[in-house]
Order: sequence, then structure tokens, then C-alpha cells
Amino acid sequence: MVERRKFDAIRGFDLGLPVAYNDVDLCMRLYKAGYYNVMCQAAELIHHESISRGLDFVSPEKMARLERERIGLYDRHPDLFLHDPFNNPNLHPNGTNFEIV
Amino acid sequence: MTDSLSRGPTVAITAASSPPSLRDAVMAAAAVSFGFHGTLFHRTVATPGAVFDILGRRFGLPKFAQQRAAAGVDARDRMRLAGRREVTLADIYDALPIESALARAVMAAEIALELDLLRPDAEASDAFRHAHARGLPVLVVADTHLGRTFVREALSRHGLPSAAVFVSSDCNLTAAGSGDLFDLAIDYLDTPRDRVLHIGGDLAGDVAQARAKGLMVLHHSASSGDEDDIARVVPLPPPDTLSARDLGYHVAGPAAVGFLNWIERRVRKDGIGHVLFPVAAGHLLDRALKNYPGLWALPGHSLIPGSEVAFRLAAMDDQNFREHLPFLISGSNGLRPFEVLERIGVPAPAPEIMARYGLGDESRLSPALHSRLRGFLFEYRFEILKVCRRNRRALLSHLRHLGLEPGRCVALVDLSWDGAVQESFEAALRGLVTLSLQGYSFFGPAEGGPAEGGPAEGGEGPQRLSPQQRSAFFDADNVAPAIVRRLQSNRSLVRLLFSPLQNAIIGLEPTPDGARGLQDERWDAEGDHAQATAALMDGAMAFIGDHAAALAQGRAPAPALETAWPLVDLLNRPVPLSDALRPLANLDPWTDSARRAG
Repeated sequence: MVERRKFDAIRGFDLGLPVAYNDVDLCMRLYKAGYYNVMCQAAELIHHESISRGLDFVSPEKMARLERERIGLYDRHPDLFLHDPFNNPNLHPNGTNFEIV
Repeated sequence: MTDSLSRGPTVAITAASSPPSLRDAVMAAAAVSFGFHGTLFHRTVATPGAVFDILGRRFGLPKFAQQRAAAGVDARDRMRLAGRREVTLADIYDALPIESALARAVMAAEIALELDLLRPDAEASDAFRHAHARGLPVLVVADTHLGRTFVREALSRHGLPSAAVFVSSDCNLTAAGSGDLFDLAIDYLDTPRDRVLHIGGDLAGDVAQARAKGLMVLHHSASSGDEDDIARVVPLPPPDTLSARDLGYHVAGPAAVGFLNWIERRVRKDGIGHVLFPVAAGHLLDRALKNYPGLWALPGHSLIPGSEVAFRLAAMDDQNFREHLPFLISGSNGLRPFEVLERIGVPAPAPEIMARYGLGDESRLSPALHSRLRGFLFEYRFEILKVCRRNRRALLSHLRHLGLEPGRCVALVDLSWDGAVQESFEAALRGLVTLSLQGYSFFGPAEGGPAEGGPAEGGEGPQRLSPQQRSAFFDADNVAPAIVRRLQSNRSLVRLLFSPLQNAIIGLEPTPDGARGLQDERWDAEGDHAQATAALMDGAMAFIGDHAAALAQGRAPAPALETAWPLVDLLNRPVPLSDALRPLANLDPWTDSARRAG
């Protein structure tokens, strides 16, 4: 969740990322605008991933678009490519369960 | 020199008449034919024998000049016996007593050298363009065994528009001998003969035959080959101690000019949109390009603060780390264990921790310790990967700064013989941007596979590149394999010629305007060695300055390989280097760090 004031201050979603990575880009721009992204582990939301438009890996065209948008994300934020300023360096860089390396 | 115009067979050439300009003359015709050697172009060597001498030297064939001349005579004898009217270059090489693969290589080199030695005649070229611009049919009628492709390439290289080309060796008809080649050209034109003008350089040859065939003729001799037309390289001094500045002036400067001349031509041929010079190969080349803008017609070009080591690290992640272990331990024998980390810019753990792995500071690495070292590096991988991620992030930042969009045709310039820098760069680019990458290296692989040494030694090197993706200035296709092997064996000296050692880049760091290279701090940036390399670069730049001045005076560049040849001379006839240079010329920053670190 983000306050409307903050959302408007960064001009909302980037329409140049119509399908993927727009949420990540939003968080990155909020961070660069001086805000923190806080994870609320107690909150539980259900997201039916790709249910409306289908999974990306099922077609070469969708995979190509996904890759374009991934590159587009880091084209916008090269300073955050492979660099999470909040990640504890003692944690596995690709871990999903906060494993210690 | 233009002599006179005659129209048709009944009009005699009158030496007393005032010769018209070529431009005026072509406008009086319905179509124009130009002779080639001696009219549109001349060679910048005095005799064809000089071409054979150069080829013999390049391929280490001391008797080649005599053999090649004899093969020409032999091929013509066979031609007459077979009832043919012209020989091809292949006919001549079939008559040469050398092995067929070598004959093919030398034949290709002869064509390339002949192209390099051509210089267009200004007045004839102007008339050629003028006729073309006015919409007149323009032909080239050439008596040469070099073939149609050669003639077309010569026109293209010198910016002349394409034209119909009639070449004796392709048509088995001659212009100067029988004049039958003109009949073929007239049939093609479908224009009355007396409306066709032939501009030729040989009064008794093509000019006389064209006139006999009913064409208008004009005698125009391209200025003859004059060795003073060429920007020459000053020969190496007599075998005495070679100072750093002399090494720069007599060897590094000519090597850089020759290499850049070759790159310029390759870039045009390959349709390259941007040239990247990694610092290790490109320091001197970049200085030359910046100090003499316009001397080389390159598209966008830039110095990239990277190296094979930096790019290799940028390609590593936790998924493929194990595959890169052989690279990390390659060339490490004799080093202290902590130097394996130092040479990739990774801080080593405390000595007591290293000692717990049996890799204390007192030990020297050997194959017996490789297994232990491999185990340690794997456990330490997340510290190494921090540096890898920084390199990769900096590479992305630099590519963004350069504005290289996906699909762009980019050339990566390197010195190395095996394309290792290109392969590591391509590996690092995966997932960042897809470029159409072409590698240009100073010397290529010789027959018999790669030599020893370099970061890939002992490692499971990346997949070799196909010849389509890589080409080399000194290659086994254009010089003797022994010369390429000698360049490989002396790669430390070659590296020194192009870049000071303190430019040994081992990492990348993002900056607001792209990235900067991180130097291997073990190398002394001051001191005698730095002074020696600075003097070497000054000498090289002085040569490049003299070369630029010679071109400004109207001289033509010598063929690229000839310009760079003093380096081969140096390797063939070693000249003692000064005390400050000697250790640098034998030093490999990847494998020799232990000795330097003491």
C-alpha cells in the first residue's frame, strides 16, 4: 500500500512497463524519492499471478516482452541492478527464505 | 598526364594538339571506358617484383620472388599451349612449387597487398565520377590477372562508383594484346563505337587497340609509382640498446598506426557502428584517435574501462561460480594463496583464516594445492561474488552511458590471440544487452592451436569464437604462422607497446557517468617503470605525429602490415632493451604477481 500523495508525487506507474516490473519500478522510484519500502509480514494478500493474461513462459513473444521489460527496468535503475541497499550482505543474494550464506 | 584525343580509326593522334581535360573529353562521348593500372590507379611500388619481395618476407619464403616470377612465365607458357589468351592468378599459383594451402594463403595475401598498394589517379578518378554523375555509362577495361572482384574492390575502397567491369583474366580476352576485350565491352554497351571514349595509359597497348577497334581514345598516364608517395616507417636503429622512447617511436607507434589503418578498413567492411577499445589494448590507440581526430574514419568509438579479468568476473554469479573456478586458479602456480584474491580485487581474509585452509602466506601454490584452493574459493564465493556484482552493475552503467542499443554492430578491439577478451565480454553482456559483436585482435591464432599462458590457461576456456566473429591483423592467413607464434610468445611485449602496465584493470566501479576501471594496485604507478612506459608512449605519439604530418603533405599510407612490420623485425632480430624496459617486456600481470610482490 502507498499513500496517494506519495504515489502522485512520483507520477504513479510507468506506462512504459505495461505488464511486468511496473510494481518493482514503483518501489524503486519511491525509494529514490526518499521513502522506505516496509514489508508487513503479517499481512496476507492473494494474487492470482498471470491468471488474466496467461503465463509468460508459454510463448516466445511473451518471454521476449518479459525480457525487454526486465532490461527496461534496469535501464531506468542501473544503480539498483544486482544491488539491494537493504539486503543484509550476510544473506544469500538469491535466497527467498533469508538463508545465511 | 593527358596527351590527346582522337575520334575513330581515321583520326590520328596529333601530339601537337592541345590535350582536352579529361572532364571535357568524357562529356563529348556517349560512354566512357577507363583503363585500370596506369590510368585510374597506379601502384606505390616501383616494380611488380617489389610485391613479391614483400610477400616472401611476410611468409618466410626467401626464394618466393624468383619462384613467383618464374611461375608467371610458366603459367603464360601453359596458357599459350592451351590456346588461351590470358592467365588468372590461380593459374600462376598452380605453377608455384609450394604446398597448396600455403599457395592459397599467399595468393589471397597478394590480392590484398595489391589492393593496399593502389593509389587512385586524381584526374582520372575525377573524370570517372564526373561521367558517372552525368549519367554516362562507365566501364573499366582492365588487363590484369587479379580478376573482376579485385577491380570492384579497388573502386569501392577508393570511393569510386560501381561500373561495368571487363577484366582480361575473367573474359580470356585482352585489351592491350588483341583488343578483343573492347569488342566485348562494345557489345555490352550497345552504343556506336565512335561514340565510346577509351581513356588508357599505354599508348602502344590499350590506346592503340581501342583506336583500332574504332573507339575514340585519350591517352592519360596515371603518375607512376613513386616510393616517396608513401608515408614510410623509419627502420629500426642498429642493434644497440633500445631506449623506451626509441621502442615507442620505431615499434609501438608504427604498430598502432598499422593496426588502426587495418581496423578502419575492417570497420567499413563489417558495417560496424561503434568500436570499443578495452584499456589494456586501447590506451595508445585511444590517444592516437583523440590527438589526431579525422586521421582515421571510425564510427563512434570509446575506451571501455575493462579487461578480460573484469569481464570474466562480471559474468560470474552463484549459479555458474563453480564453472569459473578453473579461471580463478589459472596461472596461479608460484603465487601466494592470497594473491589469487588480490589479482581479482577481492580482499583476502586474515592470514590465520587462510592458514586454517592450509593456504597460509608462507605457501606457494602448486598443482598439489589446487584442490585445497578450489575448496577455499568455493567457500569464499559470496565475498568474491560481491566484486562480481559490482563489476556487472558498472558494466551495465557504462553501456547505458555509451547508448549502445540492442542489436548494434559493435567491434571489440583486443591484442590477444584467442578472443578471450571478446568471449568474456560476451559472457558478461548476457542478460544485459544483446549486441552484434565482432572481435578485432592484433594477432590471431597460429596453426597448431593456442599457446600457453593468460588467464584462460589451465582453465576450461570459454567456447572458441567462429572466424566470422573475430578477425586478426596479424593472422596465419596473411603472414607466416611462425610470425604469429612469435607474437604470441612475446605477448607481454606487445601488451606493453599498447598500454602502460599501471593500466592493468581488474575491476569496474559504477560512476555517475558510466564506470571507471579499478587498477591492480600492486603495480607501481610511479618509479622507473612508470617513467619508462611514459617515455615509450611519448615516442609512439611522436611517430604518430610524424605520420599525420606525412599524410597532410599528400603522402599515402603504406599497407597496414608494412607499417607495423618493425615489430616483426624486432622479434626476428632482438635488440637489447633498456634495463627499465626488460622486466616489463617479460611480465604478465596475471601470473607474475608473486615475483613482483616479493
